[in-house]
Amino acid sequence: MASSSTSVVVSNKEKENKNTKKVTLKSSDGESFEVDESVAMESQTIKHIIEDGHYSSLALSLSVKTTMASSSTSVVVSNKEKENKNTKKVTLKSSDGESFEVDESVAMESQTIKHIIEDGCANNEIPLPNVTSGILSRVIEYCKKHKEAAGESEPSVTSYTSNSTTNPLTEWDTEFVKVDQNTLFDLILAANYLDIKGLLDLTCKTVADMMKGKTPQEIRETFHIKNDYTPEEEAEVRKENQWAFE
Amino acid sequence: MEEESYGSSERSSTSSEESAPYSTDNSSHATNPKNSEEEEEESSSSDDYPSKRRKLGPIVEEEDRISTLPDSILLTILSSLCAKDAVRTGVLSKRWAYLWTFVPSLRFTDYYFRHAADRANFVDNVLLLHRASKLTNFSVEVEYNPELKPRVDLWVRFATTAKVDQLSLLLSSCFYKLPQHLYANEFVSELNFRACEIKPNGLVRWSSLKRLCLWNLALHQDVLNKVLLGSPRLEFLELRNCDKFNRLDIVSESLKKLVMDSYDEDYPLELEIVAPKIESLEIIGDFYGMKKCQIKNASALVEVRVDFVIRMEYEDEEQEEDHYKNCENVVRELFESLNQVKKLIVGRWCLKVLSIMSVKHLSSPVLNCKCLTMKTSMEKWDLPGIASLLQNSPYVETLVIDIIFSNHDLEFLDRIYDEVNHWKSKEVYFKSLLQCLKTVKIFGFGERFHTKDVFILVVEFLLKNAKVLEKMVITEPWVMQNGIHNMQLKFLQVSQKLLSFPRISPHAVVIFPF
Repeated sequence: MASSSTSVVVSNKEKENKNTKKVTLKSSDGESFEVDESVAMESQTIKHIIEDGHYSSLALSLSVKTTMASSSTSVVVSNKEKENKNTKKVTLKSSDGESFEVDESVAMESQTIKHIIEDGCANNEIPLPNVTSGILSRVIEYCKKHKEAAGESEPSVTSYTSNSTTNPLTEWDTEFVKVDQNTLFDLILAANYLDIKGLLDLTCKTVADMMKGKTPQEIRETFHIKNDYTPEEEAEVRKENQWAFE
Repeated sequence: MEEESYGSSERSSTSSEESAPYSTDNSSHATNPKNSEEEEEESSSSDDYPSKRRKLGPIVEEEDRISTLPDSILLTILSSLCAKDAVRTGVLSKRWAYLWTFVPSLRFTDYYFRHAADRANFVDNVLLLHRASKLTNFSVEVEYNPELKPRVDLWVRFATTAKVDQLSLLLSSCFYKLPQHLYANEFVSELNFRACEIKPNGLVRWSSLKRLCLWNLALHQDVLNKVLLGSPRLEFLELRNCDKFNRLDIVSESLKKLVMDSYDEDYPLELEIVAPKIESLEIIGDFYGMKKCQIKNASALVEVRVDFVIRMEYEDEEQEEDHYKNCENVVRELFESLNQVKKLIVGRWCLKVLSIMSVKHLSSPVLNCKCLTMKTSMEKWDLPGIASLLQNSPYVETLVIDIIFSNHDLEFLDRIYDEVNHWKSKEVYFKSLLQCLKTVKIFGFGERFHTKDVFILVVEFLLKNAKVLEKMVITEPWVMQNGIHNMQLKFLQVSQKLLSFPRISPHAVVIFPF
């Protein structure tokens, strides 16, 4: 199964929560997923590595890409997470009825959710009628990643190093917004509703970049904006705004 | 065409198709958004006339989602655009007609207009129509001449009336004298001035100012004093290519980060920083003469970047040697005040000075840093410096080596010292080192370096002596992304050689992310 083109690093880190032993899985394109050891052991491959000993840091080759890894771990996580009562969790329910259990700290990246929790109104589940499950899962992904990056204990390599012009989080963000227009707008609306400044800024900037330097007609095409001016109105508008087009 | 990439498979399920059949080549691409083909033909024949002339029958209505977004979000989007692009959205459709006039961010920073007069006219027109009562950002980048003074004064007045948060005047070729009313402003939190004349008649009162960047302008000590005194919340100060001073005392109770970038004057610079809360310091760029650089009370200092060069004209090797004697003192004194810093970035020139100090057996101060970054060209004259830094940083946990290009060779040292033997002799003292080193990251290991003996020597050494090493990552992102085949092969060969070196740490992993 070993393929030299990919590498996955498994390392054992005991974080603040000393009750559950955690394990970090890193996919080939650099994304880390921290999961409980018990959860990771759902994979026999990983289980054997852990059981065989020296696993403070291990490299193994798996031909697994990020999406695959995340889908398998998320399935596993949802099975096991109910047993783990140590980290405070909160359940978010999407408009189409799907429930997502996340760490409270991650959910609080959303100011809206933060206020709900602080006001003491989050008993069982927090319903989010304006967000579908597909979008909610992406938003959670964003919040997790940014929460993780904020809490990095290892001093991060800043953009000072000449060869890495962007820090890893910026690269992740760039990949995150490589989605179709519909998803992008859904993310914008979700970020607005949930009041997640970072995500709103990121998605809005992405849309702005799609508009930069384009002529109005090109912008209309990109976003399917219907020109509702009559030919006369348009001529008038053009004349009035002529100074902007010189 | 851009549409293709926007998950067309999702689209086809939501879009409603009209009954009229399409031409055969379209029907085979069932998921292809039909609009794109229409508009492709439209745009080639006309420039801005709407796609009302339909050549292929009724169009599938692609949803115009952007226009359905609430105003506040659209304004956030427009805020990222430069003023020219923002203004042009006014012609998109009725919904967009006067939206831009409420945009809280006005950036006149693109290079669209060739003549300064045109740029000035454009700014004037925008300000006439602009309706937002509050500005978050007002930035102008223009080539200045004294004739523009009255207009620029008006723009500044416009911005301050709108209680602007961030004001940037980035000018060039001539100096613009800031209007006096600007020195007393309680709303502004960020100021960026380039080629401006700062001469307050009275006191400066910038009670909300947090960030200040001054580029290419004359700075007098008394003006700097007024500014620092009048900015009790100042957290970030950047001075780039400023002149007309030989000695600078930077005194601030609130300052958290200082960037000192380049200096070009007749007399060597004396810099003294008194900022008890300062956390981050950067001394970068070219200094045509530096006599002293000291930080008093650096107890809060966490992160420092010393990536500068003290330049001097010298004609022969003797002058070069003298020049470096002075530099040694400056660097030593500087490093002495950095001994508590946790994260240190050392540039290539400073590393070379440390090399010289090392071969002359001059002592270097001990550092307590946990994360050390070295910028080096991995040439022979970096070796003693690297050795010296490692020797003086016993607590370092993360080491980052950034390999860069350098054509800076210290020829006068060649005839006196043998750097490799120097390294080997130091190895005796290295036994007690690297006790804490856990992570090593090496960037820029490119084609030119794979044969470099220095690089291999250093890696071998690290693997042999870092007892608790967990991870060593060696990357060359540029080569890997561009996939130049024989480079990749050489990379592989060297990486295999490196992997074969003995490691003292049982858990160490060497990773070459491809």
